[in-house]
Amino acid sequence: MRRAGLVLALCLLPLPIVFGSLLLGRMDLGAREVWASLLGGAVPETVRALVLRVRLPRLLAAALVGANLAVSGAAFQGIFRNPLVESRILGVSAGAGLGAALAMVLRSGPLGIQGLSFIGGLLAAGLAMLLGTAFGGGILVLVLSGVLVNSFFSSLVSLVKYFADPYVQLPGITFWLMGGLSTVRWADFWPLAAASAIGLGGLLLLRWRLNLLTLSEAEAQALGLPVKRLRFLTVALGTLLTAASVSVSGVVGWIGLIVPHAARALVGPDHLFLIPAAAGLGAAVLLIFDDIARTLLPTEIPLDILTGLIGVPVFFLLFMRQIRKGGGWR
Amino acid sequence: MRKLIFGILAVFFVLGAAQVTVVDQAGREVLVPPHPARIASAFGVATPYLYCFVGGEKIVAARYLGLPDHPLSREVMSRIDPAYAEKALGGEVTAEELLAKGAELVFAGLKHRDLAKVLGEIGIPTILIGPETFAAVREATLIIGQALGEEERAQKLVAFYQEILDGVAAATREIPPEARPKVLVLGTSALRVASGEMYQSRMVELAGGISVTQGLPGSWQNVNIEQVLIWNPDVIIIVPYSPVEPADLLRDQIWAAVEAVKTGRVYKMPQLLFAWDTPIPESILGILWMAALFHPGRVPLDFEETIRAFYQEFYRCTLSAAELSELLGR
Repeated sequence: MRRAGLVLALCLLPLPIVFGSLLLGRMDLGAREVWASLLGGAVPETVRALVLRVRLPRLLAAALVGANLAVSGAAFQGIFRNPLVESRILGVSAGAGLGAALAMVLRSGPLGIQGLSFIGGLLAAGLAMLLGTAFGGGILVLVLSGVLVNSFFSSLVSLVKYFADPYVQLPGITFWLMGGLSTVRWADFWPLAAASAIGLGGLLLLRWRLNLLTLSEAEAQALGLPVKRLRFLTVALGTLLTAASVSVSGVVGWIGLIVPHAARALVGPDHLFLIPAAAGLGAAVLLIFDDIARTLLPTEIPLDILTGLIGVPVFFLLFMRQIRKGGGWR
Repeated sequence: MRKLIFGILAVFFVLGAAQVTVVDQAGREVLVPPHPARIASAFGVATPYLYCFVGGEKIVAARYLGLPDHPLSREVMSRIDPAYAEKALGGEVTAEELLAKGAELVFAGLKHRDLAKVLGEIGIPTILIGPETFAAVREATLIIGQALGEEERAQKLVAFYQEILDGVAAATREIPPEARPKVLVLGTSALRVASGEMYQSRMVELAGGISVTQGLPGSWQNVNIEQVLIWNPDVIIIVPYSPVEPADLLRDQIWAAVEAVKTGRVYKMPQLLFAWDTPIPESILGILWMAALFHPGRVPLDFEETIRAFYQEFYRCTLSAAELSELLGR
């Protein structure tokens, strides 16, 4: 029962952070102005636009991206029975990066970047699954296919960067690949929201069965589970979440690896609790990272730099704690 | 016998004298062959300087910054060097590529020290330039002129450049700070700004404006819209090679709160051959253009006539009335 309470608290955690973050920004706005903007009170049009059209969509996008990456990471770690797997394991980020880089070279505008990177992410993961199936469909070969596809698409990204105009296109590609939410508006948010609703909803519904998928294949099959179909569905939903997120935020690392571990440390390995806990924690963590990214300096700090700089030491501490407790990773 | 020794010494003396030692902007002493017939530019900023001194027949390979995307520039360039498109270098320039093109003398940027080292190993002298101030543009002109045996012409071009700079400076010097517009220079995206340390900021100041990014270090920087609202520039200048157009900002509801957008003072800088905002001789035209925007009628120079004279003097290229009209958007 205590665990259920903790999960509920983690799920609600992003709400106060969103409200708190609305007060933060390069522009100094008071709580009264922010409230008045939200409730339709009398504030200057600039302030209202800033709160409702700039900060709000960006914060909600940060929360969704964080939740999506953490949930898909947790689901992947479970079904691949591998603690080092994360949301990007099937090459989604590299595929999305290739789509975005191509869109920038082809000058197809912000929605083109989002669309092509989404398609690129799905294509890469689809290719990894196809290869995995061709190799027999086992868990290990699927991970291996993901690694292969990931490096192949990363090389394609490098190829596009190599031929991109070094002054006009290359800086944009490089900046996108480091992750950031500075350009997010409502138009970018809604497709993300739709994909998140499907992916998060689906994985929340599937979470009872995810526990069974972490059993060995023979055991699960003995229980009468359609193992292959369930695994495919989980991978598809996780891929949808990751591709939709990366297409909005650019490449943001570590969230999909560390947050699931942190959530597991808090609520244990049962997916019934782990999936919602990872969602809440992921949203909260990325909201805080994005607050730092958009307020600390006059310039935007790429998210991937922050998640790496802070994420790696945190990962190390978690790892040490686990080792001391004498437990391995589940 | 003595005659023979004298003869040999004389030959050495003549050969030695023909070799020129040039000190480049990295402070390196470079021994340059006399009358190089095959030269190359690995650096977009260096290319315009080369065309100021030699015809296309001596240039075997070069980077053409922003030129391929600009129809009018392509048209004029094909008169100056009909074969320029085949010489265009893409991607990371390598020593082998330059060797294959038969380059005897290479011009490159300060970031190309490693390339210069490799070229040095295979006996191709490399001159590095990196102008970021008015004085450094003058110096780069003189260094390249000296390397190409055109010292007199270099002096003449520097005098032309300086005369325009002095003319603008004299006209804008007395403008009190409160009459100077706050100016933001945008790069290849709407949220990518020229830092206070860049040449573009020096251009703004000389033209009688105040760069809002003064104090912001480094090169191009990514910011968010809140920071732009804090700066609240009176004028926004978009660099010529940017995919962003003034209309993109003028119809955006968030940018509507920025003073420059409110008053419609968002402009895209013109370009002919090479971009007028970069640290090359053309920048004096960019400065004149900005001065006319910031303080109409203040600089007593005929803009159109100066453009015509500039291209005649620097590129020995006569612009038609139609080309001038197209350049100035009439």
